[in-house]
Amino acid sequence: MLRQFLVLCFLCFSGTVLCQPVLISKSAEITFFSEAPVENISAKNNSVNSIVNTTTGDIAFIISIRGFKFEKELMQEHFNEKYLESDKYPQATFKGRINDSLDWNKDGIYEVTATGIMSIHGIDKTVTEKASIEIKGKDVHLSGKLLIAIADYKISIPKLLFQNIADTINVELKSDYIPYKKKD
Amino acid sequence: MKKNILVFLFSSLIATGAFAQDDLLKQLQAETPPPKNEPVLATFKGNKIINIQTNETVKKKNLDIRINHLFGNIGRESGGSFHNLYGFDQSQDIRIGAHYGITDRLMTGFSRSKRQENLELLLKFKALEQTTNHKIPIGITLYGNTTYSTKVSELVQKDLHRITYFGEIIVTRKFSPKFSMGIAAGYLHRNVVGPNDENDNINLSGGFRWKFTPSASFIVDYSHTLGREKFKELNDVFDVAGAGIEIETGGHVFSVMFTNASGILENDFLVNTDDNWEKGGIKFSFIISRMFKF
Repeated sequence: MLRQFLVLCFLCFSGTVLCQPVLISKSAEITFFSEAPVENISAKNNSVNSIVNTTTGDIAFIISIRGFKFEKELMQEHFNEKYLESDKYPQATFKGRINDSLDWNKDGIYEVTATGIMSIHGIDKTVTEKASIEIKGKDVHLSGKLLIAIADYKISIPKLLFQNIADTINVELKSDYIPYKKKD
Repeated sequence: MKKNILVFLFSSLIATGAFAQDDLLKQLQAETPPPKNEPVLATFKGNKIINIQTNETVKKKNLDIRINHLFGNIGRESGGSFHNLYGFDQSQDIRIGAHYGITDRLMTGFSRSKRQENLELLLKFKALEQTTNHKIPIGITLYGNTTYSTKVSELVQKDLHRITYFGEIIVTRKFSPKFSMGIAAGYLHRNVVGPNDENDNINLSGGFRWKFTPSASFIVDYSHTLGREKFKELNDVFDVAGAGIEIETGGHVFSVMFTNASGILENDFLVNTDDNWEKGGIKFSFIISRMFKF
């Protein structure tokens, strides 16, 4: 009885990790671009991590807000201090599921959509976004383009003073995955 | 027994299904390095609160052009009133300066001020930066300048007499995104001074910034120079106080302030302020700053 109980415990605790192939990316990259009359603003972030469970299609991202690097330091300061308030909300996250089923063992380019909760600036929003997953042997590459309306996440930019920021930001995502090994 | 196993397996499957996305996010969180010791941003918005130095320097390869204008006294007893539009007709002091970031922590600058006809060369270094994870709770900044006055004065016997030096250590802390404070201890040396004056002075200052909207802050500061009381009977000497509003737009910071300071440079106002708040010796002052990136 005890032995069986222990086996069950083992199954419960380790099941998710042992039985399900999980892919991780610690070198994902996010860039964004805002086109506006006065000046275009762009930033790049390499402090982005992602994880995918290939069995369930669950996918998650964690983005460090301080990781966004701008060309102009003053923009970077404003972005952190005023708009994204990175002191209060240091991360943006996405947790969701890939809606389409795909064969992770077969080479190809798969156009998919993922639905889940995007959390930016402390605001959660359910979104569905398109992405493309390219599988080539063991290499798994995900890329996507999304539009983020800053008003959706209560990022307020005084219109009178800041005419140089667009209402919708173009965000591009690139992520290369490797098999996940649990840390000992 | 077999049934039990099935129930267990089934319940564990449900559990993984329902919470899988949260678990996956947690799993990823565990793999994500904790936030780095990033320096705290925007403790203050400029190189000075009003009269006293802050921890802020211009970032690497950025050039900050700052124009600071100090008008005349507002109060009637101190020479203001309607006849000169409360000091607006006068310009007590004007400083035009260029500050350049050599690194993100080291800044140099050059300026010209009207009142003492001073040419100024300055250096400011962030010795210690407050970090976001509170590992370093304060910022310590070192500031120094030297000025050369081109003014015609009977005190000046040789060129060396035109020079003054000022050095200061500034301790700052951003307590919350809305509130920052700074205190400073400074040392001023003037190569030549008039009678009833001293060549060397030590001064203590303090001030704060309270951000009441994302783009506007209320700023206050105060400076006291030690040992000036003993000249009080012969000269008017007063502590220097200032209060104002800072408004930030895209690339500009616009500050409107009121102060009794007689000049803009520490080398001047710390020892020469002879205007009294109580007698309306308050002046309107503003700064326009524009940042350029190279």
